[in-house]
Amino acid sequence: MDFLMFGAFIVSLLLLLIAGVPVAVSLGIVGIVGGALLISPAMIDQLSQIAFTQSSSFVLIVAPLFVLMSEIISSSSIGTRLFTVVQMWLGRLPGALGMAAVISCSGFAAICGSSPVTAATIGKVAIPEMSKIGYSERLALGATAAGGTLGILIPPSIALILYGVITETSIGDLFIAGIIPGIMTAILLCFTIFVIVLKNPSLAPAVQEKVRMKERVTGLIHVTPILILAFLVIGSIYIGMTTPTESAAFGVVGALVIVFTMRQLGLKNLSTVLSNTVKTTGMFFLLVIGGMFTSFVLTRLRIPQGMAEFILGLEVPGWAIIVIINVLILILGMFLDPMSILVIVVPIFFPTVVGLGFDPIWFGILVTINMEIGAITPPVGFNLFVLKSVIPNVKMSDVVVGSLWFVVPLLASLIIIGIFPKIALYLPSLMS
Amino acid sequence: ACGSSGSSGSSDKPDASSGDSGGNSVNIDFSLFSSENDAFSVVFREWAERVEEETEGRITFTPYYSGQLTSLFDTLDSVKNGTVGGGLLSAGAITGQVTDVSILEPEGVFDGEEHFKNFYNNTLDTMNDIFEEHGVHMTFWTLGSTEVLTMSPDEFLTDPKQYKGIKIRTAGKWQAAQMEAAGAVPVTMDPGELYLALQNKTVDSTMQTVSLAKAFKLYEVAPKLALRDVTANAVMYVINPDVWNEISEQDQETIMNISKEVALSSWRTLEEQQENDLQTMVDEGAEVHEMTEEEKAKLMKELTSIFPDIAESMGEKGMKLYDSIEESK
Amino acid sequence: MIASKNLSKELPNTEQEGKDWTFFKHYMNFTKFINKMFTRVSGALILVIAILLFQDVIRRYFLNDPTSWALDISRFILVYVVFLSLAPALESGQHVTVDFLKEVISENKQRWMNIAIFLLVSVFGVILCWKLSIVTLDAFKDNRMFPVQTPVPVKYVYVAGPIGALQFTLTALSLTIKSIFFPAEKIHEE
Ligand code: NA
Ligand code: NA
Repeated sequence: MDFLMFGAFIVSLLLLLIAGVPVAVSLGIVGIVGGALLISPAMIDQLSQIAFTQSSSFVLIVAPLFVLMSEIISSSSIGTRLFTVVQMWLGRLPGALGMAAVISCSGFAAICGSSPVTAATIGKVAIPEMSKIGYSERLALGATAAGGTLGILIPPSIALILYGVITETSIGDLFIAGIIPGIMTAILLCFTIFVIVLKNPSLAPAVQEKVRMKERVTGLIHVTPILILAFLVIGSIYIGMTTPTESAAFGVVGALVIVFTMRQLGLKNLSTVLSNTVKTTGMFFLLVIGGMFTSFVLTRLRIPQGMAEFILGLEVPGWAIIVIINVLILILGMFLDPMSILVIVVPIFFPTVVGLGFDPIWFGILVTINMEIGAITPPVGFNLFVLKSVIPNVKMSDVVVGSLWFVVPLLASLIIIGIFPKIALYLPSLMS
Repeated sequence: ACGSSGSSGSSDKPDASSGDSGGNSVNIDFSLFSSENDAFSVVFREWAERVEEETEGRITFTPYYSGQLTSLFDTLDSVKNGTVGGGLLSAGAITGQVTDVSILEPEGVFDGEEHFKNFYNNTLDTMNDIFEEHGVHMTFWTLGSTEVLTMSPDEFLTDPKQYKGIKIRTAGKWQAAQMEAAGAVPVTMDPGELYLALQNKTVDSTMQTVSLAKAFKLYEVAPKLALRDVTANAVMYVINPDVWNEISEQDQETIMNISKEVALSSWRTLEEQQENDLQTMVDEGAEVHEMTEEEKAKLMKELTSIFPDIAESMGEKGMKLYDSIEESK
Repeated sequence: MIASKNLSKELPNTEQEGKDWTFFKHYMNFTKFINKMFTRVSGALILVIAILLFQDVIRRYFLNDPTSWALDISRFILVYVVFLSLAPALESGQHVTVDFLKEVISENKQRWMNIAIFLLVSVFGVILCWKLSIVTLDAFKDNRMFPVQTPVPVKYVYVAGPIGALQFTLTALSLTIKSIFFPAEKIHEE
């Protein structure tokens, strides 16, 4: 019976999604119909309860604030300057510009909580630079799309916030747990570029211009805004000055002051920034409301609990379950965006994962890396779409092939952290 | 193949097949904000098991712990509109809505077990009326705790002087007013967010019941526990009226009798559970300071100073409760 | 978060000459105008939240004088932010969709699918609006207060819910009308 209901739930959800109904609305409708038919029409009332509870949530104030901060920064030249500096330091290394794109993305990720925004901000400057000296478009796009995914692994991260809210896990712990895996993944991505270019140097001609040491050092000044903001956001949490929510407010005020000082913030600019923030916020919260409501109906039907009981009763080792869950997310990741995966998958499997005795923080990091992969796999990859719109005359097929190269290092990262949970859990363990 | 086979919806039509002497079979989905091993959940299970037994399995419960189904703040609405069949309410979370029970929220209302029992007996009808008015059927209520903690990371907070200017999390409006009376800055937040807030020092301290302090592992981030033997808050076990009406009159009577017994013996259950919880917390590194009579008196003088304000906020039925506190001593 | 942009390629304009669609035009312009207002207010409120929380940290950390209201008021403002932003997000196509099916079917079928999708979104909007209204009306009836220190009546906060959901529904209907009568126009504008 459980599996029948679960099957019906998944099938109707998929039908709506394939038809192109917005994910949040699909979730809401499946929840409404399922709840009304299988339990009682009174279930629909919970939709409004959840909408009001989530929209007045102490924790979720953080979401629009981090979105606003990201938008303010990406409207400025901070990303461009970061890329220029990293590029100067990497010099004439094989594949230097590609690696510079990845490293710039990692740096930018420390002040931006979204993966497409990171990809777009760095991509806007990095990809034209690469094209200029004759880089393969596939490599240029792939490196930037993959680098952009670090936006949700390196804190702050909208995805980790949402995971924390759904599973009631500490967002502070999740943030700090993402740091080492984020750096490790960045290294793996750079290594991939290095190997690709070593095998086929024609894909990435070396930079010819020589940059003097003095220029490199003076260039570092352009990194200071990022350092300041990263400290305001992450540092302020760990010295006990702010909660994650308040740190986001710090980030917004900090970003406003910095961008204003750089004379890059006009009223018109600010109005666009705010308008983008509002639209992303609306999307985010409707997804949260739709997801939480469906999850309520599923819980009321005891599907996650039944699933956990069933799986825990099987004679299957725990790691195999984790592998199966991850393969499922990988498949869904081809079609869905990260946030949707979170609200659909995590509530269903979280009781099982906890029941098997796994660490919720570690699982959150695994899910996040898995969602990063989803962001660059076709047919639906958000970072791919973003870059395609940044560079209008590129062929979609190039975007796809280019990113598929970089699925390999991301998968490697997923497997390594799956086998060695310490990589994610070491820093949080220091905190307590 | 799991336990879900019996969990027919609470608002389903009565099961026609069981029309024998005892009446309808009803399964009630019951939402609890407390975790599975929490004192409130223990009291719930004691009650639910007895009801199940004495109604010969006609009335059963499917509990959902830890706010899995509805949050502390929307349980009353959810039970009222039938999203869940029944639920556990906390006075602190509902006094904005059910102002008549405001006097049950603050700490320091009851002097001891006899006082509570007398009050319970004297006011049971009034309490039932109050909740009837707000669209739910109350089966019974118990105290939130018979002992209260002020928890802090660095020092035992015993003296009102230490309360000056610190941010302290409270469970509701009137507890907040009490802390303000003691000079602190009260902060309201969901219990689920409290651990992180204490860890990050968004709040400096929390006023807490022993069982929730343990359930949310708050002692890990605020290990200095100042303990005083005063009561605080009340929790109510309520059922949706439509679901209640599905139950045969005979079974209703059985349930109400069990309810009263469980309520009157709950003081002991709570005390036992609190002892266990305190022991667990101490074993895991918490330090307990039992406040002296003198310390207690000094603090309670501040905290009880707001009782007249509470009285002013309540309606006619609330005043009945208020007056009965003195009368029940 | 932009997958559903560009979803409507240029279609041959099937508007019949001579028919008067002015009412629909007015209606669409009306929802567009309201969405613009909502976007402005919601955006400004996000800034207000940032400033409220920022000053509270400064007061707590440097002046040891935190407010009791900043956090609570921010939560209440968030309710407005959220509900006012639902419709603008829908209008601009921010609500994520899986749109690869649309890429492979004919333009005419695409149009029919858009109509069906936006009708479904409208239905969801109606249900959401209806349920939010009930809770909000209850809050007006019993005048309940939030269980927090700053005594704010629930009704003044919750009222944002039905208003936002209503505009969400009106916007979904507007997009339905656009798909039916003005297929040549891009569905989601920047
Ligand atoms: Na980030
Ligand atoms: Na994908």
